[in-house]
Amino acid sequence: MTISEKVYPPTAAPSSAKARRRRGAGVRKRTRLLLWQLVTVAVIAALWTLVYETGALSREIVPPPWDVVHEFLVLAVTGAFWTALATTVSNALIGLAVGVVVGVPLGLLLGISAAAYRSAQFLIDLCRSFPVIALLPVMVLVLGATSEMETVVVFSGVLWPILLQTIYGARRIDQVIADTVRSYRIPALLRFAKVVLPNAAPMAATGVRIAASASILIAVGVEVLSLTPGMGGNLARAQTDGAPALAMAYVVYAGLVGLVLNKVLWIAESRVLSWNRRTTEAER
Amino acid sequence: MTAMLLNPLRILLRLLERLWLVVALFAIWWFASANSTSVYFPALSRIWDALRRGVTDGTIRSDLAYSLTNIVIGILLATVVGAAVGIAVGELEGLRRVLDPFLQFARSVPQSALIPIVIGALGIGQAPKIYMIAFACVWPVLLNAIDGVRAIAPEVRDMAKAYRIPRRLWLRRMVLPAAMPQIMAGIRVALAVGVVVMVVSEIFSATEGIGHFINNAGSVFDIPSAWAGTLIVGALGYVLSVAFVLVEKATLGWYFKSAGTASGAARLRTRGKAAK
Repeated sequence: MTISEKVYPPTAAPSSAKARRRRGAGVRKRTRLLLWQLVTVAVIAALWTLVYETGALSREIVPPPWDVVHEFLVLAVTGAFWTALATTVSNALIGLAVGVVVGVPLGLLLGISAAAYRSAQFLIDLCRSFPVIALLPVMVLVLGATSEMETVVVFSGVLWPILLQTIYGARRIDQVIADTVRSYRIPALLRFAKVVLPNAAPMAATGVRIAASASILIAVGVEVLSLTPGMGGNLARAQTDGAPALAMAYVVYAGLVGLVLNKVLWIAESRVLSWNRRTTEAER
Repeated sequence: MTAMLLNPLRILLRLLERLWLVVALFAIWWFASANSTSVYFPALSRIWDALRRGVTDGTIRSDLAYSLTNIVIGILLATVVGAAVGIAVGELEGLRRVLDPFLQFARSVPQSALIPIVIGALGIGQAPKIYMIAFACVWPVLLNAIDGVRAIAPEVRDMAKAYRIPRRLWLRRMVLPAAMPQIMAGIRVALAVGVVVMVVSEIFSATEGIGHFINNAGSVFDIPSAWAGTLIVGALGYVLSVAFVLVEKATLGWYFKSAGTASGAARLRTRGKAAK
C-alpha cells in the first residue's frame, strides 16, 4: 500500500540545482498525495464513528473503528490466526495448482485443434458461467465441510479462466507467422515448442493471475458458508458469536491477502515474461 | 470462401459438432447413474423428476423470479453508480491517485465475507440482498470505467480543450462512448460476481430464492432437488451471459465493426486483456 511508501527527504545532495528542484517537486507531490490519502482515511473513520455514535445501524453489527484496529493488531500476534490464514491460503493454492496442471495442457490441446475446440466450446461456456458456489450444499453433503471439499470447489472455479486464457493464447497466432510456418513446413513438435507455447504463455499467465485472485475469494466464501476451518470460518463464527470487531478485522485481512497475492503474481509475471511485457507496453 | 455457403447439411454438421459432447456427457450421466443407489449421486432421471415437480408446483418458478429480480436490480444499480463514479474519478486524475489504493483494496475484499455482516446489519429481507449484489458488482464496473476514461488519447483531450468543447457535451459525446466498451467488459465480470453473491446471500439466510431452494433441499436430504436447483443456477448463469452478449452486440455494434481496421483490432485486444 502507498501508505507505507517511503518519502525520501531531498537532502541527498543532488548534482545540480535543476535536479534538486525537480526532485523537490516530486517529493512535494508525493507528500501531498500521501496527505490526501491520510485525509481520506480520516474521513472514512469519521463517517464510521458517526454511524456508530448515532446508532444508525445496530451496534452489535457495526463495531467502532478503534475496536476493529485493536482486534486487527491482536490478531497479528495470535498464533491461531496465522494457522487459519495458512489453511485458507494453502487450500486456495492447492486448488489453483491443480487448476494450472489440468487447465494449461488442456487449453493448449484445445487451442491447437480447431475441431476439438468447436466440440468443447459449448461445454466450456456452460461450465464457465456456472457459479461454483452453487455446488457448495451438494459438495458439503458429499465430502463434508473439510479442506478437501474446499480445494475441490476452488479447483472447479479457477479452472475456467486458466483454460480459456490458454486457449485464446494458443489460437492467437499472427497470420504472417502462421503462413511462414506452413510454407517452411515446420514440423508439428518444433512449431508447438517455438510458436504455440511462447504465444500462449503470456495469456496463460494472465489467466493464472485472474485465477489466483479468484481462488482466495472462493476459498474464503466456501469457509464462510460451510464453516470450514480457515479465515472465512473464523469470520463467520466471530459474527455469530457477537464479536463484530473481530469479524471486521478478518475482512480487512482477507482483503490484504488478496491484494498481496495479486501484487506478487503481477511481479512474478513481469519477471518471467519480461520479453512480452515490453511488447505489450509498446502496443499501448 | 465455401464457408459462406449456407447449405443446410453444413449447418446441421456444424451444430452437431458443437452439441455432441454436451449431449454425450448428459447421456453418459443418465445411463451411468440409472441404477445408482448412492444417496449423494441420485439417478439423473430422479433429478429430472424433482426438477419437473418443482416447476409444475411453482416453487422453482417463484424462487427463480425472486433471484432474477435481485440480480437484475443489483446489476443495474451497480452499473449506474459504477459508471458515474468511475467516469468522474477517471476524469479527475488527482482524485484517482488519492483513491487508487482504497479502490484496489475494496476490490480484493472477498464479497462473500461481507454477506454475514450485511445481512446481520440489515436483516434477511430482499433489499439487503440487492444492496449486497450491487455493492459486490460495483467494483469491476467502477475500475473498468476508470481505465476506459484514462485510455482516451491525449490528442483528443487537447483537441476538445482547444475547441473549448463544453464539459457536458464532452462527457456525453466523447467520454461516455470512449469508456463504453470497457464499462461493458466490467459489467460482464460483474455479472459473474453477481450470480455468485446472489446464490451465496440466499444460501446464507433467506426465505425465498433459488439459493434457498438448494440449501433447503440439501438440509432435508432431498438430494435430487438440491441437484436440480444446482443445475438451474448453472442454466441461469449461462442464460444471463448469453443475454449479456446480445445486449453488448446491440450497444457496441459500432465498436466491434471498427475492429475490422487495424487500430480497432488493437483496441479490442487491449480490451480483452483488461477484462479481468
